[in-house]
Amino acid sequence: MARILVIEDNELNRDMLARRLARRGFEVLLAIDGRIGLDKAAQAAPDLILMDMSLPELDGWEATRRLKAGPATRHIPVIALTAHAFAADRAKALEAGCDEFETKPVDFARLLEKIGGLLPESDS
Amino acid sequence: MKALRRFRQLLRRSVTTRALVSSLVLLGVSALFLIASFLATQRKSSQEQLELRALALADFIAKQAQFPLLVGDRSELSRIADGALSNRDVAYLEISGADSVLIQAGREDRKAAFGQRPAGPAGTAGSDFRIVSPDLLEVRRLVRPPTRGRLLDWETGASSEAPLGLVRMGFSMREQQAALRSTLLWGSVAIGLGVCVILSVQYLQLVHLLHPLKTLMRFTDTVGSGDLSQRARVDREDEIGHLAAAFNRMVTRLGETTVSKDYVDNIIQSMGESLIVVDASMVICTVNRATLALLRCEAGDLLGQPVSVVAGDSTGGAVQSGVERVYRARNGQEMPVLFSSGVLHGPSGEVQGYVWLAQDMTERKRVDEERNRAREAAEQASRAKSTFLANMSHELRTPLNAVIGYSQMLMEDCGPEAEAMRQDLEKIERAGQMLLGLINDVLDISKIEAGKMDVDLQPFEVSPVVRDVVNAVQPLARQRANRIRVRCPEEDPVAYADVAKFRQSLLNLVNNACKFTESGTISVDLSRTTQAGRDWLVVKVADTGIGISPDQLARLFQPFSQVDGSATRKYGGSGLGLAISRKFHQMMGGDITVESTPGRGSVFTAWVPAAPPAEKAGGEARKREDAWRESS
Ligand SMILES: Nc1ncnc2c1ncn2[C@@H]1O[C@H](COP(=O)(O)OP(=O)(O)OP(=O)(O)O)[C@@H](O)[C@H]1O
Ligand SMILES: [Mg+2]
Repeated sequence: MARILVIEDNELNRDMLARRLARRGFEVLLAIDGRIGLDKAAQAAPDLILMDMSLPELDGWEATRRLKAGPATRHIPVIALTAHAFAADRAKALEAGCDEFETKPVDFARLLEKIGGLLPESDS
Repeated sequence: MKALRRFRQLLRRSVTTRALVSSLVLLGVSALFLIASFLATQRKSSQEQLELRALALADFIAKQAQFPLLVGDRSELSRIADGALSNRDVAYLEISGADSVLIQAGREDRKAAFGQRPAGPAGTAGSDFRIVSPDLLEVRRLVRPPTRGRLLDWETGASSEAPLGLVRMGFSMREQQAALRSTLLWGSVAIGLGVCVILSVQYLQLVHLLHPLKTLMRFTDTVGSGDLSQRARVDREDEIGHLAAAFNRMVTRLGETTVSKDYVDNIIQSMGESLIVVDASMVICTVNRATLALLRCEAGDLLGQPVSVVAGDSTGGAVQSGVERVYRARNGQEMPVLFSSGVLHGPSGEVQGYVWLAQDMTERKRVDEERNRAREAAEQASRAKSTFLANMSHELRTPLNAVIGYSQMLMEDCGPEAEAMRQDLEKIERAGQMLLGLINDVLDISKIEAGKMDVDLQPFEVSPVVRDVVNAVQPLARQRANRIRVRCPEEDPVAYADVAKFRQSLLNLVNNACKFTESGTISVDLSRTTQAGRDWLVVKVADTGIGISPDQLARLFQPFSQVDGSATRKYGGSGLGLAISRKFHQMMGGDITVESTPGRGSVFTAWVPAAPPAEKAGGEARKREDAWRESS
């Protein structure tokens, strides 16, 4: 089963996302800030990362940039999650290397669709 | 010396005095000449008369004395002498015989004259005059014996040739001299009076002549002091009258030119701009009041000074227009001015000087600065607002995210046995969604108002978006028993717009149609048209709902305008949807229009550009066409 790393500082959102994803059969890993997220991504090599953008320690953009710079983590797809609905935010996220972009509150059905689209066929 | 100088001054100053003095001199000289010649003539003639008389008397005495001398009758001789002396002007008488003086007689009061009698030898001459002294005339006459011996011819025949004696008579000339003196006196008096009369007549004449000149002179003074309204009186026909008339003409002419000079002066002085005129050597020759006010100085501080005291960076004769320069006030303060200059040409085209015009910009600069500050403050406030909104949006969405997410999660958990709970959770979720919509709308509208909303124009296919929107609204439509019909031209229409914004506004239109229609039909018609030189995709959303009244139509696109409160309560919504939708369309180059009949339904028409704007020229043409449409 695919492993998804959820990097999110807000406890409620993190918990909710983790439980809903787990219910769909994903193996969910959690990280509460950018730095821990980076470590976990390097250690556990998840199949996909859901990245909140406004994170303490290391924000989502910088974390994504580093992920995409690391040879071991470069291939992991990243979906940016942000409460900022501005078009500029989307552009900024994509620029940082995110593969997809989703605004909060998350439309879960749509998020699942995007996850499905980014995961390798064999895993889903 | 001093008196002489004073007199000369007087002569120089007054025509009257000069004329009178010269007349006096002329008259005096001629009067003197007259009197002198008259006196000379008078004197000569009176002397001649006296001589004649003296001769005649001497002859007479000599004749009378012939006989007494012949006979030696002394008493007769003295009688003759007395007779002679009774003549008033006879001073003395002497009758001498052949060898001795026989009678010597003189008037008492003429003793002196007698005493002066020269003792000459009894001359042989028959008669002669001798002027003895200025007032004494002496006549001598020989007494000869009677010719042809008429008397005692026979007795003295031998000696008849020899004179019997000599009569000497002295005549006083005092009388004549007195007469001459009185003639001289009275003549002088008469001539003096005459001169006086002549001079006074001349004086009066001069005064009469000079009076109008004096008036004219006073008049000239008033004209000279600037009063050009006066005119000289012309009541004479002589040269002075002509002079006055000529003078009046001159004043009139002067008045005309002076009035226009006043007029120009007035304009210059009342100008709000500073005006400085400099001559060819850049020396200030004219300034107006505004200049003095601007530079805070007196005219005397500037006139005659090189213009560099005003503007250090003197540009010489360069003609400039509307440039910013700096004038220096008297206290050294620098004044920003809006400067223009021009060249003054003389009649033959040579450069006479330059005109400098300047407008004080201190105030404008200050206002500009203030405005800049205000704008900066406003911009900062707007930035703060934007930041605040972005943050608020974030802070609101995060908990909403949890609300919506958990309700959805719980709904998934609910089995068929917990249907009631599932419905309650659905209500929570819907409330969350509505709140989210509201937050999105408020965010959109404030971004639009802050000018921060950008559109990302791209060509895209419209049908999928329409299908998407219709699908999204379908649940609501079903709920209100509405049918949605989509009509689309065969080939897929393309729009050139911002997909997300197009979707959002179409969603609002279709959503509204469903909200305000019950058991009706909502039709979405896509078509293409060309208008104002551009291709358009026209999206018509028509419903058969409650419609909108005309006065509601007028406020329809204003933010927060909902037709009535009860409808809001019934249908929900913030009243921002249409305002945002229309703004979106306008930002994409199109617009939304609406027609509605209350009770019958409404038609909202969205105009979306079908292609990017044509080349610049085409754009210009369109703008012109638009302007034409607006003005017609
Ligand atoms: N198709 C329609 N028929 C009748 N009335 C309409 C229609 N569309 C809009 N209105 C009126 O215009 C008002 C403004 O519409 P708008 O879309 O701006 O706000 P809303 O739909 O009330 O709220 P929101 O769209 O922000 O959720 C509506 O409240 C309604 O009264
Ligand atoms: Mg609406």
